[in-house]
Amino acid sequence: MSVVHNLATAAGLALFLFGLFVFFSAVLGLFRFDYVLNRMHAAAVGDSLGIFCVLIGLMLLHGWSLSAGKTVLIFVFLWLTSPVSSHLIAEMEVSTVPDLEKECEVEER
Amino acid sequence: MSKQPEKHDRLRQLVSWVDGDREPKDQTLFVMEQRPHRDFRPSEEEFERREKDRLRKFFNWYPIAAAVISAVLGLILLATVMNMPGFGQEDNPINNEVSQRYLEQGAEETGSENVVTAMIIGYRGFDTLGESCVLFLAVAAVMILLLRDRKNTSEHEARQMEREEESVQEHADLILKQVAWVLIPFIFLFAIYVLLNGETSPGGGFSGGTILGAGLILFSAAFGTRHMQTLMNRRRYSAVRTFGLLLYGILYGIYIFIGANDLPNYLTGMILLIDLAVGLVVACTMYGFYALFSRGEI
Amino acid sequence: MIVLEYILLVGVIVCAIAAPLCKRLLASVIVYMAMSLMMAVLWSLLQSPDLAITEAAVGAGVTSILFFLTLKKIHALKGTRDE
Repeated sequence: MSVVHNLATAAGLALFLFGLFVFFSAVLGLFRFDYVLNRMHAAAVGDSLGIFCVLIGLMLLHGWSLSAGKTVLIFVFLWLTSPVSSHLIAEMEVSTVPDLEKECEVEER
Repeated sequence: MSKQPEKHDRLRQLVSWVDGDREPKDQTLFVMEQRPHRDFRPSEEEFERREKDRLRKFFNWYPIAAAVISAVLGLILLATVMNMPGFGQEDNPINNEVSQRYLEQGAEETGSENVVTAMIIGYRGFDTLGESCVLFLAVAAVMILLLRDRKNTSEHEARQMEREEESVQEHADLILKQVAWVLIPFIFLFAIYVLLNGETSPGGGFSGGTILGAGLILFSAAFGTRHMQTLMNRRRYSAVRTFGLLLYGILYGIYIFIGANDLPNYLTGMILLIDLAVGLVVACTMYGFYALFSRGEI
Repeated sequence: MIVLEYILLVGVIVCAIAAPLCKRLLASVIVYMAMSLMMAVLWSLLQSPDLAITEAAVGAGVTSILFFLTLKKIHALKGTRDE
């Protein structure tokens, strides 16, 4: 029992720290990039992967309870809303900028 | 006979002097700068130059004045805070029999376990009635300013609005629509949960109403005006808004009547209804602001 | 927990000073929104969840939407992109 508990704690801690690292790199990317779409790409990674790792890590650290179930609901909500909002921002940017090729590379499909 | 026209003349002189049209005749008192007549219009360039000059002066002075005023205000507030009694000490003036009574008998007197709700809706309900009236009047004022109707909209503008609406309908975002379709029921459910659980848990009329209003805003943004019209048109909107305020007024009137006449307090469940009334008013305010600001119609 | 409170307080003060000093109106609105969000976390740390819910929904959500709509209405959203 205690082995399982220790393993869960270690895994939770590792996931939590990895999530914090992802968030850190996302914020770094947000500051380093200079165009909207690149910046959004950096922020979206933090929004989806970072929040997932942090919340799963917290669940493992805390143990199974009602709060853990609520945490699952939180990241389901965030996974539903955050990509949609970034998609809307990107679409607005693409549809309003007259020449996108000047700003960044565009791949023709 | 001869005095009256003179007086009249004096008065006119005074008026024109105050207006700055002409100098007074008695130039020994003080000599004013010769100003042009009021009806005199400077040329375009002159006017533009003057405006620019005034604007530059304004922008030179504005930051300094703002900084000075903020510093003075901050100093006054800091002085006030310094003179306040320490935080959480026993002999503070707020620790008197009033708060003790609220904490001890709030639950049975108002029927609400959550002390905050008991205070907002029960003991200080008159205050909340005023706040609801403020929200109601704010929407009314924004409606007066921004509502579009046949009188203040030209045909050209109306056609433009229609075209925009059609283009929005054509290019409606599928992803947004699908996700909103999934999310909106849950948002409404959560709003109703917060609204009706103000008695026992954090929440209540204001928070629940705001979440409800945010859900309405999301619905309106995702599905467009036409679908919103089926959910809430102007008549229904006005009805809900007025119904909320009237419900609050009537229920609180009953509260006051019971309290003033020492009747038995058998209406403890009323807090739920009052919360509902406040929530309706707040939700309508939020959605009304959004609709009026974005399209100018409800 | 007290350290977190201090960090949030400093953040609130910095945002409150930065909001009127921003050159672009859009940036002002976003900074104000951030301040509101930090205030919401602060309220819940100070054990007043009622206020936290309302602050998060009104301050960070609806007020910013209204500000954006106003900016759109007065055509102040032009020239907001980086040069």
